Amino acid sequence: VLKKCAALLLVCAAIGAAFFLFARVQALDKEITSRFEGRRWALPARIHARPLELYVGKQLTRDALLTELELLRYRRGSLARPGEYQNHGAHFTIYSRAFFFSDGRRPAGIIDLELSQGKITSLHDHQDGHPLALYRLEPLMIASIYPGDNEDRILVRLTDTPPLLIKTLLLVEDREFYTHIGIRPLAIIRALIANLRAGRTVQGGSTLTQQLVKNFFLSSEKSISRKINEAIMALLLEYHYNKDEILETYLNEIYLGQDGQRGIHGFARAARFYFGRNLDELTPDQVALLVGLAKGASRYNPRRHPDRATARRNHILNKMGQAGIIPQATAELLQHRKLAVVPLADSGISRYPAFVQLVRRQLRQDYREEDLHSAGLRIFTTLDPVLQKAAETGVASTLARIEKEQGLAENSLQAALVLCSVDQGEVQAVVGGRIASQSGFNRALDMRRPLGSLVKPAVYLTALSRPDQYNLLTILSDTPLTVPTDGGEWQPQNYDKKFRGPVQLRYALIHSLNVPTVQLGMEIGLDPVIKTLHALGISGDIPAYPSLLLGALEAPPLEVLQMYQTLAAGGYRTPLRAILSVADQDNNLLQSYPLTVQQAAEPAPLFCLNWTLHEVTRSGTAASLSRSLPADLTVAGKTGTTDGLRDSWFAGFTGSHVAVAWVGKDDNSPTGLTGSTGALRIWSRLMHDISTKPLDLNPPDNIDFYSVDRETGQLLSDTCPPGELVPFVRGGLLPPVKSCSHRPSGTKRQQQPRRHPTNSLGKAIEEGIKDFLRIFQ
Amino acid sequence: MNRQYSHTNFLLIVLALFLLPAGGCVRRPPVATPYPHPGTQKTEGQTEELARPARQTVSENPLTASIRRQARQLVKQGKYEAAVRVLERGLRAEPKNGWLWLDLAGIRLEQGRFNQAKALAHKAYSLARRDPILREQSRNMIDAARQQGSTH
Repeated sequence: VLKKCAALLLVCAAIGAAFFLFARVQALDKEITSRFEGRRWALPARIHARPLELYVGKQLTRDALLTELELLRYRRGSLARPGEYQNHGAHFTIYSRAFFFSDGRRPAGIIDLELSQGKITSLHDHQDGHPLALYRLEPLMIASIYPGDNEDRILVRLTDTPPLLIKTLLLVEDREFYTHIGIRPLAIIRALIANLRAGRTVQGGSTLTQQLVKNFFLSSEKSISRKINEAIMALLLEYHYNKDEILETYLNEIYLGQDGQRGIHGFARAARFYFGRNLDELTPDQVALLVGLAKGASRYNPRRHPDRATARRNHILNKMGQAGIIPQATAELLQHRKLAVVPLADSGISRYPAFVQLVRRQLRQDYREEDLHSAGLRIFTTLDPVLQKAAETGVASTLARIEKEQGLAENSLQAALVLCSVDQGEVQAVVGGRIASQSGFNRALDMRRPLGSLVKPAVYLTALSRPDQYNLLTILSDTPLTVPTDGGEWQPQNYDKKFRGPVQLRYALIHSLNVPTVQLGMEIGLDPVIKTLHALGISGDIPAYPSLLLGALEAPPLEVLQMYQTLAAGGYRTPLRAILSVADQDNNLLQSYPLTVQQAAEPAPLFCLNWTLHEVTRSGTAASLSRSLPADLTVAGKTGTTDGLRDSWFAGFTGSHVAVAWVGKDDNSPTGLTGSTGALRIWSRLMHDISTKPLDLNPPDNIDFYSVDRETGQLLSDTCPPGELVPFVRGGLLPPVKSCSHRPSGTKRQQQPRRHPTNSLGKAIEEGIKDFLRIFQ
Repeated sequence: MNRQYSHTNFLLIVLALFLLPAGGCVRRPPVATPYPHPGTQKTEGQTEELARPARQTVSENPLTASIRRQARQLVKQGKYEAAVRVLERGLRAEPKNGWLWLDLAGIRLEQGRFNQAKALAHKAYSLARRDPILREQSRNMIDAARQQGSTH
């Protein structure tokens, strides 16, 4: 009976143990498969800058191209592999990397490019000499949006992995990978004995599968139960998945380094992190170093422990040579190479936090946060890294100079700068503060400050849009003015507290006079001005107070950029874009953000306004630009200064770029700077440093130019010597004509080009005279 | 026809010659006639930059030709958005090329986005100062967008 009871108990215990084991295995199975499946596809979103487009005629300096190549981690070389280039004087030969754009794959290829006088003068395919109309380099990756666990990886398929890497990995870590069942019992026993003898860990018996399991949990726990669990999970993985699937996951999952808060996972990401290269660009010594890191990414960290890392690399190179993966001689030669690891700062953390913030805001409108973290989205943006660099450098150095010149405390000033293209409204640079690499309060997007005189163009455009009432020579009154308000009355003052009497409309804008602007604004009404501001791109409620006319309206720099983009583009507002398209991890286009335009202003009045804004930069409040910019770079713009000299603004445009700059203090205390002594200098520095085109003032059909007397604002009659040419909307109000008593000697009015009379009788008479004269020929 | 026109003109000039002495007896108000755009001719006192020739809208340089060809092929395949992206690439290189804007307008018209087609065609027109064909085609596009838009 006792025996029977014991046997029964034993059977029960065995059944219980079996159930327990089964339940445990089932739990482990669930855990490991879900982890395996989940990890395989959790990819951060990648944000790319604009690709550098190359074509004959493009403005591109040698320095700008070298900067681009450096950012993209190209290196001078023999053009043996993508990512290398050669440069002799103005001639470049570039071996571009293959890249999936949102509109398709561009294979790797070698191109020849010639520069002359800051432009591309020839562009050819290196292989066949065929001219290329348009070619683009792959875009710089400017940021990643990481999952909550801060892991970073670049997914690589097993089939795209260089064979050398796979061979070396298997050679070093698991020679029997393709034959074992997930664990190697004999190897474990061997390692156990060796470690017991040595009294410390000298040998490992883990297979790649076990390492992968260990990596999933990244625990430092070394208990027996943990080891057993890992072994069971390795067996389960091998049961569920084939060898290639496990190896591919290992290649993408293995922990190979740390970048601040982010873990660097997988060989493709590590290749970028340590060498700034793609996997297929690695040399054998670099492959050896990366494979060596699998044993201990921290212990063999090449940046922290270069000696250890070198020893580990050389050990692996030796093995590679002995196994015949590479020639023995090469293995020996490569052991003398330096590690050539790139500096940590350029590892792929966003260097452009202000721009990326803008991108993320736009993305959140269309995507869930978790998709941004883990769906491996590829986001193509409009950031121009070269322009961004110029903007950042310009802000930092100009602020320091202003502080020094004005006797202000160091680092007391702050700034914001935004830049976009004129016709397409593509945001190309965003600087949110004087230290651009710091994330935090983004003044370019979030700061709302009074705009001051930046509002004035909207007042004048509203007036000029009534050509039967106003033109550039309309006389406004610069005399003491009292405006009734809700709380009493308001007496606006000019900046210099002086009154000039009657002034021409254009003069008031060019010199940013407050009193005539208020007089004009009150005449035309606040509501039409508000309507114009909305049409130009200022959003939100705009309170209809008379002080609005002098810029008592708060908006962030980015919104001001929109307003001036509309002006710069001839009245065609293009909603500003930071994102062009989004693709999934398999390069399928998910969404594009196409160019759209809206006509926000009539071309003719807008032309008159822009003509005057150009004059602002020649003889008005921004006249210093005519000295600080190259003579052939014509621009237009407007200064802005707020009460107590708290905000210094400048908004302006060239033929190809629009930019808005702000300088002030975060605590809103006075800076002592006007628009022209502060923000204008940042703007000027930017336009000086970048390749940009001169302003192209192209008058619409219904603009007529008349010769005018600068002093009186009258049109000069045909008998007068030519004066200044001023544009007028055809059919609109014209100033009185001044006649000249006699034609001064030496002037040849007839030689001036004139538009012929347009009425039919005049034409007929002219033709008649010609016919009449022909009789005598 | 020309000859008849010449006779008419001849009569008019004779008439004008008769009227001239009478005109001399009356004090005529001073007249100011408009000048051509300074972009075409340089005049005294005028700034250098505004006196340079206005930029021609280049219709068929190799880059534009290539872009437009690609876009046309994509449109034929019904890939409108892909064609838009190609044209946008072209516009990054040549933002003042009215033909590219007009092609973009054409695609939007095809897609039934009439307001956008009209706005883009207006933009093309605004860049067509020296290109009569582009002007005409832009006007046609504006009319088409307006008409089709009103019937939808």
